Amino acid sequence: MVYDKVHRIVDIYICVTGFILGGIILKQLRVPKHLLLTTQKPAQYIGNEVNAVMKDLSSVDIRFALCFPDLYEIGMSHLGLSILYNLLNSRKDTFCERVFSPMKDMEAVLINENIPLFALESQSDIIDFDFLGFTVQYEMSYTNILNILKLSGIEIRSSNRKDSDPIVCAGGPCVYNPEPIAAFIDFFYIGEGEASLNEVMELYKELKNDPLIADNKLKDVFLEKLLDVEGIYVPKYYDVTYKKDETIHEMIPLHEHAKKSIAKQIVVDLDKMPYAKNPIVPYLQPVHDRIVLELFRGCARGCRFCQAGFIYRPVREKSLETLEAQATHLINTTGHEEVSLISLSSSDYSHLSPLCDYLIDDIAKEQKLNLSLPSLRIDSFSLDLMNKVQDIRKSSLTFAPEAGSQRMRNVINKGITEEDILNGSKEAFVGGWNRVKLYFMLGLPGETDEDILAISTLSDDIVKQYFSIPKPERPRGSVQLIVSTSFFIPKPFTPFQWVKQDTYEEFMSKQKMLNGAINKKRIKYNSHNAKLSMLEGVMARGDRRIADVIELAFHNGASFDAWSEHFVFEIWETAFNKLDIDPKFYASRQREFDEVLPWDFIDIGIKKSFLEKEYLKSMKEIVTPNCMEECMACGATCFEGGICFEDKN
Amino acid sequence: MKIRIKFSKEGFMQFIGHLDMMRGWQKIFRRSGIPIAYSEGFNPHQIFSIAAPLAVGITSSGEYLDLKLKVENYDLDMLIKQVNAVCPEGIVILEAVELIGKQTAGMAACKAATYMIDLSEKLAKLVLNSEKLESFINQDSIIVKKKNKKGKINDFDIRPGILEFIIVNNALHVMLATGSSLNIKPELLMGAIFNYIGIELNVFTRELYYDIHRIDIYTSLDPLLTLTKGVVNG
Ligand code: SF4
Repeated sequence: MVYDKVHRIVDIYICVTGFILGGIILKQLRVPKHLLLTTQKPAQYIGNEVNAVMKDLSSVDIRFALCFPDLYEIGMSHLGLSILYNLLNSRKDTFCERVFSPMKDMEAVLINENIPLFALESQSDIIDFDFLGFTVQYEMSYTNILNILKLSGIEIRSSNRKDSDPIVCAGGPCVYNPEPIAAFIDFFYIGEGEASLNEVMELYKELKNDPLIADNKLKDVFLEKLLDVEGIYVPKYYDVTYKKDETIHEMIPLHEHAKKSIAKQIVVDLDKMPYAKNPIVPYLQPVHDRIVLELFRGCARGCRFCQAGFIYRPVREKSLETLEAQATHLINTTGHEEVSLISLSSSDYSHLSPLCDYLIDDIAKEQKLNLSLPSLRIDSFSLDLMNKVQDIRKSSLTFAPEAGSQRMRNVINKGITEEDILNGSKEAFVGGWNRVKLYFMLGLPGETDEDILAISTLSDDIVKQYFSIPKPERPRGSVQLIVSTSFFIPKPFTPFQWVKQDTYEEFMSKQKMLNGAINKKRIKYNSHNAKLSMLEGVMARGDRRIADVIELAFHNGASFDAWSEHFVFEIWETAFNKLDIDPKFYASRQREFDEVLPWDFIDIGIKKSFLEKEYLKSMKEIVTPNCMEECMACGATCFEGGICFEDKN
Repeated sequence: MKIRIKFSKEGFMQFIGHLDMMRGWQKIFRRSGIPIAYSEGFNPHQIFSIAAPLAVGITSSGEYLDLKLKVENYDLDMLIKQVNAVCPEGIVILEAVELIGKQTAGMAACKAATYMIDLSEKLAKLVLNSEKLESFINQDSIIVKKKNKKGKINDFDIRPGILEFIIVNNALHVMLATGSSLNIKPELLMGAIFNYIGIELNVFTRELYYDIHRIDIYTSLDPLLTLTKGVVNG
């Protein structure tokens, strides 16, 4: 049937080859194309990005499914994932693939069509892997972990799993208190993957290839052998007993090799450490679409609320030469046009100025390059720098004073004075910025009404700085101040690990007070969800009994709790009630120093007595000098490297 | 110098939407090391444009991209090599020609595109075997509802935009008007056919679906590249 015109034979030819080509490639898609196309953003389920690794399945001994339990666009912005992906794939015997939480529409397709969750690279089912490893960055992703297990067809509790199921492991900052999710994870890795994950892989390979070990015994033998590996925690070899008052009595090792204390693993020499050499370049725009250059690990500042500041001690820097070489390579291999310098407080990097000179003068001259500099202290150096690399009209400046009053900043050891803040903002205004963002916390230990109101006063004073500048020198457009508050969540391994978190009611009345005090004419006020912060408080300092709550909430529909549009507090409330577990026991209870804390068996290299001293000092509003000025002998010298062994100014 | 390249977008790349692809191209060009020109101003960007953006899920063997280099007389074979070396699997540069003198941008020049629409077996049975198909295409006008830019739904006659309509096995080969004055997407045509025959297919299923492959883009009835070449030679 020819309806119109002569058709082109050539076209048919091209067309047919195109389809055969397409057919071969598309055969590998786990979700058939036409179902995939019914989902939003199908590109997140196909892999195949630039620098994504592909290996022949028959040529590897170990298949590792590396999972960031949130959306692709979040996980793909995370440096840690990229580091582990490169580290594992640099092994010839290992093929590491990625897994993310599918969006809700895709989840529905998987369930309706009876397709188990798969990994992006080979599109094969998770259940066929040797390992399923989670990187756990925030507590509110716990239900997503359970959902990944369920969608993969893996039992949620380790104790119910089959021998043939993948070995489920987890790492990341949250697992410094692994107990709330201990029931779901076969083993935890405490510390930096570069340090000894290879050792774990070697052990597994050796056992897997051992003809004397039957396949159905492999997992058990492996987990048992892991008891001898530093930094590994295998929960099933421990039992926990409780006192009458519900606090922990004791953590009892159930195996003679189960260590009393699990030591954090770190890399001392970052220059020798493998880095994320060929990061994947996603098509879908991730939250951060850029090269990430890690300047150093750890933080010298010692803010008392900040968990990262303690668990990542001591500070270890990369050398200038290393960073220059890595930056050049990363620019060439990704084609990104933005480089972001990250670390916990980038201004403290010893070679920040020459590094920026290199990026701006040497590299940016050749090709256009944007620099982004989060977590910089606002001073004339950094303003000058930002002026050079950013479009001021578009960017806003961020200050994180964390507390409004100087008294409170002393309590939390935030080494920044009111003068620093006011001078910094004035310089910023003169430098051309008129949008300033300020971050504070509500509910810090010992907080009074005056401390809360000081947030509003400080914000007003910043606005006054703007108007104190003669009109012709002010930036165009009116000043805009955005004040955001979050609620304080006491975290394990900080000096505040013992303190009572404010209750929901207390949070709300504080927020209301501040909201009433803020001058809305020039200042916009954003606040957090108090219920979410409370729940996060429970998870952060929870023990093994919390697993039941997570599981029940998950069964009743909780997932993507970190997303305000998906978070339903009532589901959690019901779970707590049903299980007769009081969230206040975990969140809003002051602990005694002699209480056994659920995470006491993890050794981060910092003495508990140091944290105790820091807490007592905080109550007296005494500040502690940072590691660059003076060593406080926190215990981190046990790692035999980093800032602890450098000369102090 | 200004260059027009013809490329294919196949396999996995069909899932990458136009905006993501634009970002992808920027990175491809940066990785390739070709001396692409940047615009002036505080936020300079690479100078290139795509002739007729392709919807997600459609493969193509005839896509066009116009770009500008900051140098003259750049070797085009070398350019193709450099870019292909860093292209993701599924994107291949097929040809490149220099645009000499004043040229209409690819975007404005394109007038039509050819597609092969491959129907699943079950769908082919319903559609291609239908007696109604002949009367469908023989209509003087084919009215469909189409949302305009403001979101208002208007009646729209697509018949003048169907320039070619052939059945080959389980596939439809069509040439459709493409461009700023008249633009008919193949999905729109398929919707009109389904509507006429009386098939409801809002969401694809495992059995009822079709694949679209764009074969080439044309200015008037000549492939975009052929015309350009003619100008270059003449
Ligand atoms: S041992 Fe001293 S220098 Fe090292 S992290 Fe602790 S306080 Fe800082």
